[in-house]
Amino acid sequence: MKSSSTETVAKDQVDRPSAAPAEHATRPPEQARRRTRRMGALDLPVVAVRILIFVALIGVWYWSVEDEWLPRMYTATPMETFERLVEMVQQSSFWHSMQVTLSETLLGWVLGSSAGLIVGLILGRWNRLASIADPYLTFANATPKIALAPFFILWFGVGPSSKVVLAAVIVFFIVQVPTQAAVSQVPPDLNTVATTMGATELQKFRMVVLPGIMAPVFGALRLAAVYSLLAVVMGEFIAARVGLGQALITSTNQFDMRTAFALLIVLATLAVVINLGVSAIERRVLRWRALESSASSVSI
Amino acid sequence: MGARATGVVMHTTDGSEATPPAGPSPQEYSVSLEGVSVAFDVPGKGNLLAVDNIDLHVPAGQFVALVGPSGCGKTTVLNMLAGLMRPSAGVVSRYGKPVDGPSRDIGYMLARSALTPWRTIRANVELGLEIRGVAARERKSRAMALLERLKIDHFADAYPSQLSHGMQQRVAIARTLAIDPDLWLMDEPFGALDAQTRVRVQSEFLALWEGSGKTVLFVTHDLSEAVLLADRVIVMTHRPAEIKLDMMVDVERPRNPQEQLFDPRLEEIERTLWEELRHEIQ
Repeated sequence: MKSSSTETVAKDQVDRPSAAPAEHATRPPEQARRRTRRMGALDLPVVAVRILIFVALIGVWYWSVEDEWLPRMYTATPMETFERLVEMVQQSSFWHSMQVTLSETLLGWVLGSSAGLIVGLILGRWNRLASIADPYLTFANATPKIALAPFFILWFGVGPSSKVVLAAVIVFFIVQVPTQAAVSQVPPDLNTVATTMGATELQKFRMVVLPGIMAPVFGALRLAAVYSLLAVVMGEFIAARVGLGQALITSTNQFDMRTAFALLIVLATLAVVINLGVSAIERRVLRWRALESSASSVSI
Repeated sequence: MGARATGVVMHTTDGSEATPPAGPSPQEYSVSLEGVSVAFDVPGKGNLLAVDNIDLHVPAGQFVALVGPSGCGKTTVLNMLAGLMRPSAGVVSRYGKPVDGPSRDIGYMLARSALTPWRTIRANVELGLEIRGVAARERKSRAMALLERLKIDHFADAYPSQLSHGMQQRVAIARTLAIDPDLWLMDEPFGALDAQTRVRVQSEFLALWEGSGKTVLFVTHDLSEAVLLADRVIVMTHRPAEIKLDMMVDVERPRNPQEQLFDPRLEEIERTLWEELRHEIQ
């Protein structure tokens, strides 16, 4: 009799999580996911406040222009900007500029990220190499890299290459530094487990290190994509034949404020879209992490 | 004593010359430690002797519990058998062959579950099989069979963060055993579990082992756990670790930890061991 009672107690206790984390922890995962999705979709007050803030911002913009807080020739109303935007998207020259800026951004991002990832992985893996390289990398990273733009334009011309190089240099450091740090932060236990199972160095790299650094690396990649756009636009400001940045600087030089404001909105939208794009890939790759954070948010 | 251990003498020839104790020949021992010492280089403190001249022979199929105060070098013994480190002196061998690196027929379960957070439960269990290049279908069927035996198969597609401690530990057991190792090295596997969960997981673990014919080296600081599970309990001294007591637990199998938690015969053995260990703690 004694033993049977112990058994039932044990059975009841065991299926409850011992460290009292998320209360759904023992429920099958689908159920937990369904629950978070519903919670995210239903938050109407947040949406309402967002819309309110948007309307208020447009209102302030409109009022400040009409009231001439700044000389009227340096500003454009929301309506003028919107009209210009509609006009612009029907012109092939706009799309050509867009294509040039976007391809420079993408190329700079891919080249800079790849280099940053490779160097970060190598230095993260071989600490002595890192000690040698660190002072130089720190010095290079501390340089305001935008100051290199005039040099790159001299060396690589006014065409796309100078913008790609500038973007790649900026992106490189944004990716290299967190990658290197992430490699050394992969839990040593995971490596030990793989070692005792007889994993080769290559297998450990593929099964432990690479997936282990994905979370911080993706954060860096997302940031780097936006900075790549920033670098390209800066480069185009200084000297370029085509591109959104070039169009923006030309329009302000000519006091064509409707165009300038319209382009500003285009650039901001581009940055947001780029960010969303990388985030979408990130969510796919880091599915386990999304579940982890949803688990903690539900438990609160 | 210190001088003998400081030199990094790995697998000296006298290991093969050492005369084994009466009984099976060295080839028949699943695990043999002969005159094994380990010294660590501790900055500022010089050489620290962790393990001092240990002799231990474990026949195949025996369940041995290593008990001793914390930090006494029990884990060091497991690490040497797992091929993660080498003794400073003496020989660590398996079936008469010196251990010279990680081996594919050893399963090592760490105290922390150390599950890979980005792998599902099933993929975690498959890790060792994947390293060995076992085909996907075979991996899946072996992982699922183990998960079913440990009654966690309905969590196969969940991630470790979604599981409680007890279940994570079960997954770690499944991962260790999925490769069907010949020697199971367990480093305080249930130390972090609450009492009820522990008894339950102990029973499941014992059910997996009994009749398997595998050799187990089970490190624990919990005497009752050692007596409950093992055929033989080795009590180790405070650092530098030596073998203080080597005792057989003559209680028949199969055992059921849930029912034998208060078995008087086991309690008697535990009391004897406690008398020995008590002096080591002080």
